[in-house]
Amino acid sequence: MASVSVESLTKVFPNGVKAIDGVSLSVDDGEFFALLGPSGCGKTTLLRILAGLEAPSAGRIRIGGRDVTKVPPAGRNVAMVFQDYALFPHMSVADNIAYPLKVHRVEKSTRRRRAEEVGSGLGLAALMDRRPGQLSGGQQQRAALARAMAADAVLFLFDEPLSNLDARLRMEARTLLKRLHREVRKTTVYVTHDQSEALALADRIAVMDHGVLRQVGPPAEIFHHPGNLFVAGFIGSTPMNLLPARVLDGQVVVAGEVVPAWAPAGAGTTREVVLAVRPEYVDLVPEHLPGSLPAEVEVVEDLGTTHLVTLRGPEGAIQAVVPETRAPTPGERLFAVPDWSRASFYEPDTGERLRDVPAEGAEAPAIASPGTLTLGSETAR
Amino acid sequence: MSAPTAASPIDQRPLRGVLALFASRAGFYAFAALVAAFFALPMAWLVLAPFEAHPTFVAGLVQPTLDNFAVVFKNPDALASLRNSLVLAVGTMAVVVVCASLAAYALSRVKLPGRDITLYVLLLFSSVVTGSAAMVPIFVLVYDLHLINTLEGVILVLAGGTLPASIFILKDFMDSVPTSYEESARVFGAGPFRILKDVVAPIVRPGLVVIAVWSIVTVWGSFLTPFILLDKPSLLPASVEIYSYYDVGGSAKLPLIAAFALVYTLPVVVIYLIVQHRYGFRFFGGIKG
Amino acid sequence: MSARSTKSSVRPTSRTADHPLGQIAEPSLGPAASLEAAGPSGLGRKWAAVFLTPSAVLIGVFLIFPAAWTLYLGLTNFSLVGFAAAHTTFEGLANYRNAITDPEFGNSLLITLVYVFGSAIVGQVVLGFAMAWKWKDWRSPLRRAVEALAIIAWIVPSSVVAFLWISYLQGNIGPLVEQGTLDFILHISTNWLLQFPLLSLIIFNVWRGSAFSMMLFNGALQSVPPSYLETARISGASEFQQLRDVVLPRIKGHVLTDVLLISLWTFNDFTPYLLTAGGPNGQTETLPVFVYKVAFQQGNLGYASAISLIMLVINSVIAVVYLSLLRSRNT
Repeated sequence: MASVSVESLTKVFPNGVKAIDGVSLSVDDGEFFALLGPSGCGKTTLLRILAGLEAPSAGRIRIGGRDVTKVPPAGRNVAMVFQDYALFPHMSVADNIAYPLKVHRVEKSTRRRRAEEVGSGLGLAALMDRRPGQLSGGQQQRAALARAMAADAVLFLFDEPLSNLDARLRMEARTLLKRLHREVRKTTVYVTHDQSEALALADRIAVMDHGVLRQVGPPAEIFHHPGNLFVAGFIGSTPMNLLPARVLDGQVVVAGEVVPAWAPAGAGTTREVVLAVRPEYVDLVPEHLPGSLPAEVEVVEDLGTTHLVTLRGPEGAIQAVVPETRAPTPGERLFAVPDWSRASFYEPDTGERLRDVPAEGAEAPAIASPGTLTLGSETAR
Repeated sequence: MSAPTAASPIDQRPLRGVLALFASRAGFYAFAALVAAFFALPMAWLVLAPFEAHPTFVAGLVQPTLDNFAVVFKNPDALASLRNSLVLAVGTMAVVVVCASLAAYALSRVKLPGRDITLYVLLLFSSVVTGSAAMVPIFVLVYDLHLINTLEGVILVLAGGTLPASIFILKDFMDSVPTSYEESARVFGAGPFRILKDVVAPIVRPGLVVIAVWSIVTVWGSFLTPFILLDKPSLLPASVEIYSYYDVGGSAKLPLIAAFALVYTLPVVVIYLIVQHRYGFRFFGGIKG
Repeated sequence: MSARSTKSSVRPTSRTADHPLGQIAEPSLGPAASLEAAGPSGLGRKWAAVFLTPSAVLIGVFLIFPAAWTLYLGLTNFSLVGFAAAHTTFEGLANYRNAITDPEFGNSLLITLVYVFGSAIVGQVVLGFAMAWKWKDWRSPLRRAVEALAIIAWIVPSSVVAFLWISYLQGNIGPLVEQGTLDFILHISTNWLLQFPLLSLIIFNVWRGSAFSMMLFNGALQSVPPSYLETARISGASEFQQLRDVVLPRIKGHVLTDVLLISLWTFNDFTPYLLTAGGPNGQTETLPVFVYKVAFQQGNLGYASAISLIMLVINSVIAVVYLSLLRSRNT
């Protein structure tokens, strides 16, 4: 078991591409840590540097307190599961699982026993003598997992291990991973571009973009309080509604109307902000309420239990997710009522989040139920 | 054009079209028959003469017999030459497979400046030098190394000549192996030799078979190098031995030559056709364009 | 829609581009540099050097060194026999001056060029291409059988094929020499190797080597999308126009590669020696045969080395010409 710490890590490839740009982070012992970001954001490079497969251009890496920056992969005692599983096609499943032990010169019968043990724990008992080519995608994935577990490493590294599975298998494998982690509690760094995987599995998530960390925090914080517009746009099955807003004397004005939201800190003067609220927290009502925005239904998309409604409002498009029973029809004129207490504010120029601390002497917004707000407690880290 | 595929509904065509179609089909098969005859006729003797009791230069089978093979297998020189050919072929193959695997792996995985152009130039160079342009210095070099009249000397020279092409072919195979296999083995603690032995070599086995067969076939048939480097009769390989039969023996030795030629030729043709059937034309796959 | 555009306009992409931490990369490249050299397999330059050494030694000693040594040997009177065998002296460019005035060398060079042009550049390329092109869509075991015949001709050891062709081309002139298969079929008596030696050799080499071109062009033609040819055919292009406008531009690289390789192979081919030993009267004495005779029958290694070097230079010129044509295609 080991903690991981990364200090101002930078990676510049020989062709000049800067894949990682001064990243610092730490992973606690036993933590399941997800690196999340779009393709090309540097997350896989970071993982490969942790494994020792790439050398950093600058910075320092510690695993279990030991500086391993210049230690080759063999000396790091880590195990890695690759996106394509990298199961050796010419070896049986048992030999694949036992390979890390073979490298470490463990005796043959012990190897076989350990492989059987780990393999049957993952439901591979009947497949031990097959070749990887004879396994289904899900079985291959479990075999790769078993090989990593057999290695008895202090740190698990996963490089998009579920991305080659079809949707249903991916869910099963995700549950399996979560269960396994709960059982063995091994420090895990997990790279994915799939936010639902990261939200479901991780204790903490680091969102990366263009080689820098955009936000690090527990899934709930990342989801509910994105630290910047990039994260706000990246996380969530539907993108957040972003509304241009103005802060006037501690009050928030959207589309010329004062809405009952906490104004962000330092809002004593007039300033433009971007207000973000998830479609799931936008309700549609037939009549005007304080803080509601008039809008016309344009598109209704059936998502099964819910409907995604796209409306045209005074400040452009706004999306709402409503229960199936309350789906409107296109052309209908309604009022969109965001749950203003769940809104986040962003600086238009930098995209950074503005803390929603109420300005001095400002009234608590009328409609919002203050109980749902945890004022100033969350930080964007 | 390719007549057999051009068969469209004939009944709708005017008579002239039908005739043109037949003419083009006839032309197609006439060309095929001509080509087949061109390639087959010179080989008829190789197939027929060994089984003819009194072979002449004309390929024919009047009195079938297997006695000619008995002549070969009772001839100690002929048998020794086949053994020498085998030693040369297997020896060169072993050297080439080991050296080319190591080199192709290194070249495939480590980017060295000018790697590709160097390899290509060496490939062209080897087809020139091993041909004949360097026969004099090779003779002098092997003489100075005291390897003249040794099979080892011939093996080393042939290995040096076949290595560039083998590396070239094998590198092509290795380039297509995903690096995640090696990275995986590396994370689990395997070193370079172990990775090559446990992971890469088994995966590129078809490539190893190709260069092994290619070097065996090349060496088995090679004439010039053993011809100038060996003159002790007990060391001559089959290629040089059979030449000495028709160079000095003339038609008197025809039964021996015929049967010996077939015994000597058959193994490479069989191996080659098997490999060709299994792996297709990947021998020079990397060369084009 | 405008909500989206708001989002994209405020997305802070500029911040990452010129991030101040980017400066870190430069100064601290040093400590990690040893690992940096390792490729994805972890094979650093050091290991690569270890892996390359055996091949490099063999290729260096038995391929590159001999070729370079011709340069020196060609400047001496190095010899196997006679006075010079014991006393090798430096002769300067004497061997090259001899070569220029030696009619046998000139004759040999001419024969070699005719042999390469006739049998390789014309013969093998045309026959190999014709087989690949005409049979492109022929799916039949017959095709595989004919191709196998060509491939066997390519793979049979040279001392065997040489004798096969000697027997094939024999003519019953005089009481001692028997009739060969070709004369038997044609009911004539021509000793082809004596009466048409160079032509026989050229036809022999077309027979011997066309399989390589055929296989290479088989692969090349597969890279021409069938839809291209169909388009040309529908628009009424003749077979010649299809070849000129659609096929050849696509496979020009393959053609050049093929011509280059078989030119070099044919130029240095020693098989003519096995068929005719250069005779009759030097009519088939290609340069390899000439070098062999000068070196090992006359024992004049110095002069033979000078000829070898001239051969190497000619080969290099051929290679450079083709490669520059190949490159001009790519750019």
